[in-house]
Amino acid sequence: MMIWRFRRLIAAYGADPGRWPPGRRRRAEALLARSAKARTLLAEAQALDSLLLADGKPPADEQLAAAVIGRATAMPQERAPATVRAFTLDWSLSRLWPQAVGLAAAAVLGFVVGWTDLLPANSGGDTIDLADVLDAGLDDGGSPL
Amino acid sequence: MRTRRDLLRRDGRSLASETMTDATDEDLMMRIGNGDRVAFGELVRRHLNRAVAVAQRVTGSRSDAEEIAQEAFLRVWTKAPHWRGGEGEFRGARFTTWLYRVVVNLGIDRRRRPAMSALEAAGDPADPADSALHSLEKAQLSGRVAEAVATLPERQRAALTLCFYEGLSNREAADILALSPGAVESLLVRARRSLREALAGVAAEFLEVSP
Repeated sequence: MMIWRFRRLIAAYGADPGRWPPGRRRRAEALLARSAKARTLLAEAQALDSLLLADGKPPADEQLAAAVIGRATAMPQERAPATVRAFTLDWSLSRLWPQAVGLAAAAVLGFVVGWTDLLPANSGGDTIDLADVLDAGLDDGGSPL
Repeated sequence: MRTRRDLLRRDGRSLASETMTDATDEDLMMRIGNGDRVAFGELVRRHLNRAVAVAQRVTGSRSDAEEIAQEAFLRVWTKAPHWRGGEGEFRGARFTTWLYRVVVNLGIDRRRRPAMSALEAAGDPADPADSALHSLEKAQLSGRVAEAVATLPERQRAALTLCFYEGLSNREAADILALSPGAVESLLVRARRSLREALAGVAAEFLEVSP
């Protein structure tokens, strides 16, 4: 880091490296390690920091916190518009998408299988041939009809 | 007797107090949006000090700062139901960015009203724990610094408050002030330069006699 950049850095953020933007901190510290001029500038900035920090502000007390909470919660809350509720509903429905996609895929697969007759024909011998039924009826002496 | 756990019970669920303190500001806002008073109390306790300090530096008045903090947290409560949807003023914002934006803007508006009273200008009361002389010097020094900060243009004062006094990054300050990070840096440079000039005599007067 060039010295003029360092001067600009402490002119804005003061002497505490904790306040320096992280992207410039490491290069600034490297400059400080090798430049006496940078250390002088830092000391000047430290003096101003000390002065400014003399203006401390006392913390808010519990009484104020209680007053803030009491006053606010006594008021009604605004209602979120319907569009937000719709968005929330959509979001909750969106969690069902995996199941819906699975169902649709199963339906398409079933249709394709049925349409193209991809499954092997049933050849296990338990089908009933109409001719056999008719023959059996004639053998019993009865009418087939 | 109702326990804290009972108070935290919402929508059939319960949240242990340690979970509440671990919850992010954004989680708390979601709960506040459902009317959760305990979550609101937690958020107030987290941010009230900082909100008052920021408002006090922007306005130069403690009583104005406390009113501004009340107003800001009233908005948190009433508008929290919109948080979930990220609507309007909440769009794309972290909670702290939104809160400090409200506080700074209320402070700047308040500052534009007629001047504060002489009592407010006198600064904060001295700390009784210090010796009388030291307390007096400290109070006087604090008052002189506060006076110098109060004379800065409002945006410089707001940038200095957020970055120097409250330790926010310049990117966060830029989001709050609706400026670029470079513009915030320029405001800081000008603010510190003005203060160095305004307080040159003060430094010689006080820092030599202070322990």
